[in-house]
Amino acid sequence: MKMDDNDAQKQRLKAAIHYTVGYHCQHIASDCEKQITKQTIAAIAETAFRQCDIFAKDLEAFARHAKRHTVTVDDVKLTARRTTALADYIQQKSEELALNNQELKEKRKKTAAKRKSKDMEPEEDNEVED
Amino acid sequence: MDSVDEDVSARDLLRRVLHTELPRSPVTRSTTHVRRSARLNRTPGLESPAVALRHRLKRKLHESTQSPLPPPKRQRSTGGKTNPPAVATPPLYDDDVTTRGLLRGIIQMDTEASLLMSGQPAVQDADPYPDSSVSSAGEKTEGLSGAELSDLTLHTEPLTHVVRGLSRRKTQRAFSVSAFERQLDELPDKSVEEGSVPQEKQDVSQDLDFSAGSKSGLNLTLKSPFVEKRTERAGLKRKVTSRRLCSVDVLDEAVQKCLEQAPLPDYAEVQDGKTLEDSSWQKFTLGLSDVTELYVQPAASTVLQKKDDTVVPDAEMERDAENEEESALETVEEENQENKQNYVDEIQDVLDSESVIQENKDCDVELVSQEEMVPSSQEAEHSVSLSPEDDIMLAPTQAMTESAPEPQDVEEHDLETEEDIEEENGRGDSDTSQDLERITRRAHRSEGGRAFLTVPPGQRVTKSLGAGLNPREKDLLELGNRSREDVPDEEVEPQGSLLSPPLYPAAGVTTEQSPQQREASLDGEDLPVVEGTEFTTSEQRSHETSLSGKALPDTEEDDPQEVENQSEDENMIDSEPANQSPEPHSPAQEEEEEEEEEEEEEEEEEEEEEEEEEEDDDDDDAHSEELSMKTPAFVKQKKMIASASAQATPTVLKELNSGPAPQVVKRRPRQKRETGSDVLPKSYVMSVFKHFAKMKVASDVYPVINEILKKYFKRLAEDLEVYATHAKRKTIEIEDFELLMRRQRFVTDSMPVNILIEKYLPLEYRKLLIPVATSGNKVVPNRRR
Repeated sequence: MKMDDNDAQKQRLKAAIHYTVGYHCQHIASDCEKQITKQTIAAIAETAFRQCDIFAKDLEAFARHAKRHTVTVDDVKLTARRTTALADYIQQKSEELALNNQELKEKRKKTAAKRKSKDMEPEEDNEVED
Repeated sequence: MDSVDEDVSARDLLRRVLHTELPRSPVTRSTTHVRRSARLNRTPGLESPAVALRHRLKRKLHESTQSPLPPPKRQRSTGGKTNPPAVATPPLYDDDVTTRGLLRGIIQMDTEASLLMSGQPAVQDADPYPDSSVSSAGEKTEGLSGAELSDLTLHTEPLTHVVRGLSRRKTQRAFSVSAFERQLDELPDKSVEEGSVPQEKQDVSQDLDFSAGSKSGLNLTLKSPFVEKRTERAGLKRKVTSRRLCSVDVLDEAVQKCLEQAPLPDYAEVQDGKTLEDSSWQKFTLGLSDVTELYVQPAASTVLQKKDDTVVPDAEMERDAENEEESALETVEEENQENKQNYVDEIQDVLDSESVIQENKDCDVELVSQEEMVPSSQEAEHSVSLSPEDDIMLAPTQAMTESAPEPQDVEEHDLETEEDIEEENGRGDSDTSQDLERITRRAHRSEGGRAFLTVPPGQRVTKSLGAGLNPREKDLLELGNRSREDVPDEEVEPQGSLLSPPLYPAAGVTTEQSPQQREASLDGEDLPVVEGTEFTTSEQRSHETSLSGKALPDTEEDDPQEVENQSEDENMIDSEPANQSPEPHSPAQEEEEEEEEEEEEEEEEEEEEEEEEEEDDDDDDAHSEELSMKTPAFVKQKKMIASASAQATPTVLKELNSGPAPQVVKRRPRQKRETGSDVLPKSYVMSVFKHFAKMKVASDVYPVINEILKKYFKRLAEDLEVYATHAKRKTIEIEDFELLMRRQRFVTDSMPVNILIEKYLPLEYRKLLIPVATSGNKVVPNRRR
């Protein structure tokens, strides 16, 4: 049962990947004004699927190596460090994410401070707001 | 005894033969005989023991000579019953008539006669036989000797054949007779198949022995096979003496042992060393005899030249460029030198230029250091060895002798240590040799003819005697000056070439110059040292090259510098051991080179040899350094093995990462080819590659593999660093290696690390990695968890 479920899950995942890969390939083919065969798409999809499997295992290993239970951006960066383009891209994204996180944190702090100030000076706030 | 009763007397048989033989043709008889013999053989049951014996005899005779004897005999015995009337049975007559019958009769007579002679019981048993046999034998024997048989022989061809066969048999039996006699004792023990009448048989056999002609018959049947075979084999047997094939290794070891026993190198013992070396190395020296003769014969300064040249060329064996120069020089020089050249050329072909380059590099370094008495060796380790070398260099002869035993002793040492020693020695020698080599090369280039090998040009100048030497001297001076200055800058090749030639002459020069050092204007102090080093290096190099051919040019250079004849002896001594040492050492070294797993760069071989020599020179220093080198080397090897097999042995790799670095650094300046840093020694890499390739692998594959290995290890280190950083650590640990192995798919969900460890690592490392509760109840706490 479990195996079947896993297999079913696998199939679904594979299908999803296949669909996505096909979509992207068609997009690129249209840009290059070339056609792409289905076998190619299938091969790319299969490769992508297996690479995902490898990534997952590596990420898990990296997380465990760092004695963590959660896969973080650092693990992902480790995985992608060899491919320079991907590594740079991930680096940018991670930085953006970091900024976003910081902003979010700042916002939270501000809101928290505002709340405190509000609580502290509800009369003033009320007076101000009014 | 039916047969006995039925037997007819021999005379009767003969008569029948005479009567019946004529009308019949021999061909038919033979065929009939064959048939009859077959028939006769088919009646074993009726035979009596005596008859059986006779049957055997007949068969044997028949087989051996293919004579008609057996059938007639058989007929006689078996046919006794069938032959009651001799005339009534034509076949019998035929048998009797034919040679077989005659022979049978003879044999029977002989046997019977023997029986009669031996004793009555035998005779009684075969009454008919003895009677008939005696008579027949007598007749036949008489016939043989007499005219009757001779007549018969005339008439019947087969008889002659039979006679010949008989004669042959007799001769053959003669061999066997003795054997038979020996076996007589065994006869009674042996039981006859047909039903033993041991007494009869024994008597028969014994009687047979007594009888002259019949011996063979019965004896043969009884024992002929064995005896004849034995006799035949005895003649054919060739005892193959198990010879030991003397391998070069064995010889080298033996030589080493002899050398070890040889007295320690001392100045005073130079002569002794020389003799020892001569005695021990005579076999090895290919051309030493010539060289020594050359040294002995010339009494003039030319001799010095020769010696120097020979000495130097020996050292330079490895230098290709110089070889040409030297060869040119030699040809220009006297005839003797030419001979040496031949040797040199041969040696040059064998040697690797790389080694020369290495040596040159080392020489450069050493030259500088020598001046400072501190080797600027790229390999700091060798500095220690250099100092003792310097001391030794002061007594170049000693160095010569030392170098002689060095190669032998070296072989015994570990390869690693040898390598170290060689490097050291090479450096020390290279220093002096470098100068000489440079000088020679420059001189050669300048003059285009002779290469002057002079350790200290300054000294030489002062010593220069010949007018023709003046230009050389100038060159030498220039070279010498330059050599000192340009030590580190000089090219490897020229240095190498310079080194080798001057080595030997340097040695000679040193000896000569030692008293003349005062005269030396330039680097007087360094000269002996340099020379000594050069000498040692030259010796070491000469090991590989084996002959003094190179020495010739060196001697040439030295001649202008050294006119004194005193050096002759010294040179001789120096050159001889140098020459000798290389020769015996070269095969050993060659083997060593082949066998060794060089952890260091490709040209380690020569360096190793040098190291070996150095080691001998500086046992104490060398040992210490060797030990220091040993552990990393050992670990390196382990590392290589592990890395080759598993490609990831965390602890080993981690520990050994620093191992090859220092050695590699040392090797660099020496190497002629700058391959950068060789990650792993060529021999090891190629061997592993070949193993996995399962095909022949070209040697030019190594540089590519080297690059790949470089990149691999570089990436390996980077990954490990990243993993350590990822774990927020500053030290690479085993865990990082495990992660790496996982990334490399060596370790998977189904293949844990421990299994890999157990599978690939030797027990020592395995114990390190996997805690084991030893029998001593000592659980070595592991860093692991």
